[in-house]
Amino acid sequence: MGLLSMAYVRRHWRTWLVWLLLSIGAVAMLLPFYWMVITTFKPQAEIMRLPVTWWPNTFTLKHWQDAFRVANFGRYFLNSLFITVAIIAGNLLTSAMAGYIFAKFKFRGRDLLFILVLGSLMVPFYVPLIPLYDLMVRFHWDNSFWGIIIPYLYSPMGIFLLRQYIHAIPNDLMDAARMDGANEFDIFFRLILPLCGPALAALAIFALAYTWNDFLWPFIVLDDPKLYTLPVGLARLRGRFSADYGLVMAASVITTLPLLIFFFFAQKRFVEGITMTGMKG
Amino acid sequence: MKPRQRSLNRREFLKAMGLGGAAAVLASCGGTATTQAPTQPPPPIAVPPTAAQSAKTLTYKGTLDLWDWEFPVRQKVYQDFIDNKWTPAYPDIKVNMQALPWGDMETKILTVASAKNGPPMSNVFFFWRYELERAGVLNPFPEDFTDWNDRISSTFVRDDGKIRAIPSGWFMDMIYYNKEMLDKAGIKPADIPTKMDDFIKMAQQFIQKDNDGKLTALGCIMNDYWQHEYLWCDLIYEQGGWMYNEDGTKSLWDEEPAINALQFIQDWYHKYQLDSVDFPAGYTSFGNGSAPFFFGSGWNTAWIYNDFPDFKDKFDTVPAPTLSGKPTPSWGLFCPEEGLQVFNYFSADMQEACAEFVKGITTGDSEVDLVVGNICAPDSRKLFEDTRITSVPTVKAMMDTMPWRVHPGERPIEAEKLWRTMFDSVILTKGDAKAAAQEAAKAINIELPKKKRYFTERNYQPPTA
Amino acid sequence: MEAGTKHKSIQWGGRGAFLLATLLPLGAAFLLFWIYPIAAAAVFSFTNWHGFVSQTPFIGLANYTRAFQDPIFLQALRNTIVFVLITAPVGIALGLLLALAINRAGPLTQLFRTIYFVPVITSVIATAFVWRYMYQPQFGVFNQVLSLFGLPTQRWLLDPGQALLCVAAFAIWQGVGFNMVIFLAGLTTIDSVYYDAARVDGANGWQVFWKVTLPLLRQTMMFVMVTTIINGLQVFAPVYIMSSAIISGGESAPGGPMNRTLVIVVYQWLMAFKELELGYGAAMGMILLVIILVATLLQLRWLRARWDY
Repeated sequence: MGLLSMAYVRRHWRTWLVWLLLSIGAVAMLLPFYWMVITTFKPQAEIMRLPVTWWPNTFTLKHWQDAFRVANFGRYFLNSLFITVAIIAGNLLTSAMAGYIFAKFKFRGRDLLFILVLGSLMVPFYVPLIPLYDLMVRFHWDNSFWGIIIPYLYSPMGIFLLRQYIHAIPNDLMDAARMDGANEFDIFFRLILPLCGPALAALAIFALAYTWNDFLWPFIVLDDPKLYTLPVGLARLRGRFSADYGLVMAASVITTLPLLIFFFFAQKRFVEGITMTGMKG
Repeated sequence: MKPRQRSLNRREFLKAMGLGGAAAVLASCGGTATTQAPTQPPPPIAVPPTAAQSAKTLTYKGTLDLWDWEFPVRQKVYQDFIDNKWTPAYPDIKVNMQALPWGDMETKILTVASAKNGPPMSNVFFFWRYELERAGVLNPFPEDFTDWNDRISSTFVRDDGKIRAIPSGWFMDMIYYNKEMLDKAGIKPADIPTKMDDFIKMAQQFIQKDNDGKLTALGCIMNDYWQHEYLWCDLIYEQGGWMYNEDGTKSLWDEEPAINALQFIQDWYHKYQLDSVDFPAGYTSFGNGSAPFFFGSGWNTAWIYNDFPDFKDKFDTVPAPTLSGKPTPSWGLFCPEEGLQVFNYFSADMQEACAEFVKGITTGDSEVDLVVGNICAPDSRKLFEDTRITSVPTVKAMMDTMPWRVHPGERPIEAEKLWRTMFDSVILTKGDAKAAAQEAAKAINIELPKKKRYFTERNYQPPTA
Repeated sequence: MEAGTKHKSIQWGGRGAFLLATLLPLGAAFLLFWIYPIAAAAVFSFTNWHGFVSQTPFIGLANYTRAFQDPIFLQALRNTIVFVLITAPVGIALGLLLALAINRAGPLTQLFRTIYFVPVITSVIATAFVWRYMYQPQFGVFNQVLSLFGLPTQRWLLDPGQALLCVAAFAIWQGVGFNMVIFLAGLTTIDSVYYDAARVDGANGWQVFWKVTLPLLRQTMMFVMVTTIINGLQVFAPVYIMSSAIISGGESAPGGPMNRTLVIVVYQWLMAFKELELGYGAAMGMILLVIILVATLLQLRWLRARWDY
């Protein structure tokens, strides 16, 4: 303890300076969130009054009640949850399977297909947007969860990530299993999949963040408010409720809080995941 | 989470098309109207009495989706109708109303209709109606739907011989005034001038500025795209001008009346200084007391009630002033709340149910509820003297000006972004009005000839004194 | 040996079966949800598809010439490029600076890294709403702070000159954490051997940065540059939320005052979904795609040239 505190005191002045500057920046980063939360507890009259109050003069829970009762955000939360879990599950399975065959199987066109899959990462989403919507309509997946889940089942990023990861698994393991008479599905589910833990975790987190916050595609696909996800429901407040800032902020908190909480607990994996996916790109 | 309407299988679909087609053919055989002389109403057709609510038997069972854009008072009327009249009569047909923000409605209604998806019935604003009409997805209303002769709209909405609109009512712009503020200044509502120049002078006495010359109290608030659009159109018609040429292939936005109108709007902000972009837009600055007057269309009333409930009895309206002080050549624009439409790509029994719903809510007793709830002027002439309507605050000012209002017919969907840019450039950047007008005209003239247009402005005839 | 090792035999449990089980859905999904829509978009861009019409008359390059004569599209193009020119350099530089700083923050590294990453994982819709509220001229925080210091209040999002800057400021705030995390990861891969060698040669801090750190970050820098610029060119959500005029009761289409915050993807979406100009919208998407490809290629070439040694 004594040694540590000595090291603490004798820190270079540069470190203090860095801490100071970073702290100022950190305030800038977090101020909007503080504002978001604090506004949810102020009554409308106080929100629209000058001078602006940095702490509520009067506390009210009305905006929170409105968010759940009037604006139906409880339902949006459940919708987001359902869709996110479905997509993550789908992504994990499909990416692992595809990653496995790209890494360990030989077949004609393998490399070409892999490059194409990677190439799709480069295509911005708005290019296929309209024809994709048209396709959803033809399959009658528009205005339903299927329209959101099915196009997202495969993740090129995930395939790439898992392929890189599985590539490093020595072939001997699989050969040995085959010698023992295991079929390919067994090998995949019982041998490969458990070995991919870290990559799967990183992928899951990446998919979670992307899907939870995804706006444009669900916005275009969904018409029925009962099906809205959180970002879409939030954007819907642009109209008649846009002046009800307390409500909008409460809805914003509901949209951002779950992921934020998850992030705090899974930080390390999160960042690992981003860097793993990022660095290889 | 199964979506409500599923596509029909092929046989069902063909059957429905056949039935629907037959219905449409029958409907179109009903009328003998012309499009040329709208002041000549079609020969009267005997109308069954609408008072009796004898429920027609409907074969459809299930849910009907109804879309509308957010307008709380109208949603309340619809919901009351659904709860008190529709559901008791048709307990097997559930009407599910959805109110979307205006911005979402704009970007969804055409898309879902073009995908033959979305709701079987919807409130359709006249911006979108013509696109839907051209696409052939709107059912015309049968001639015996209601007493069309009794409706003002039939003068303007009979396109290609068929009526596809049944407005729930009309809005027009007026001057909203703050009773207390006028009282304090010693002005009686009857004193509010009918001539624009005089009105401007009256409004200017309320202006206050700070040391830097910035406005701290306004003369008359607009600061809202829609009111700009209405005023601009008003001024064009008041000068005897038109917005489009005779065959609707070219705009007249760069002609003198339009340029004058645009200049007037620029002057409103920068010469007369009645208004300022630094104040909250539209009715908000009126409701919070920043301005004694508000130039706005009648639909603002419901929003004022919504956002400023305490302000409810503290304001009223008078007809908007005109350039000449006289109602001729025109007082300006009709702005219809278009009313419900039924889409024709759903099953026949579904369409039948929807038509029955639309008829129930827009005709008969319910029509009064709709007009009173919307706080607008009625479409049916027989309701003009109905005291339930004339006693609604702010409605009288609209009804007094109705005979002199022009209905432009189609408002091209391509127009809005051009007008927004046009108004922004003269108000925000104080650009040259003529240049802005020419730029907008140039852009729309490329688009106009690409489609068949339904302009009805030239159907206007000023009432004989 | 099993029969499965010879060819792709489709016996249950064999390699072939597994291959098929994976490839078939993958291929189908890929074809349906990527190949087809992208090809279709390209084709639609040469047609006059107006939504309702089942035929899509071929009109050649008309949509493309229309785009370059459309003053609003040109404004959107201008806005998008200006947006990128602001957000990319600032976002990248700030990200790098933050990474360098946080790397030296000792025990507080984890904390700061978390804090700066928070805006990245929160929904853009939500945070854009907050910023829009803070930019509100009458009772927003920004003007409040300005007037505290006696400075004149601004119109922010309602001012044609400032609106795009306001949106850009938000975008930088939102995205800088991502760049920082990538740079941090890159920094940790640099072996301390290099730093030691440089110090032995007597290099000072600045020289270490330019001659050692930066070149060794080449891969990372490439990644950050390319992604930041691509994301900037495709921006949608912040513009959508922040530049809808704040009009009582009703609401306007996003584009901002004098269309100064309109970006290409927003204009494309508006034309496609509001005016049903689907062919025109597809053409705009193609134009943007070309811009992105060209920009990416240029960057890769430039970076490669600069740091090849």
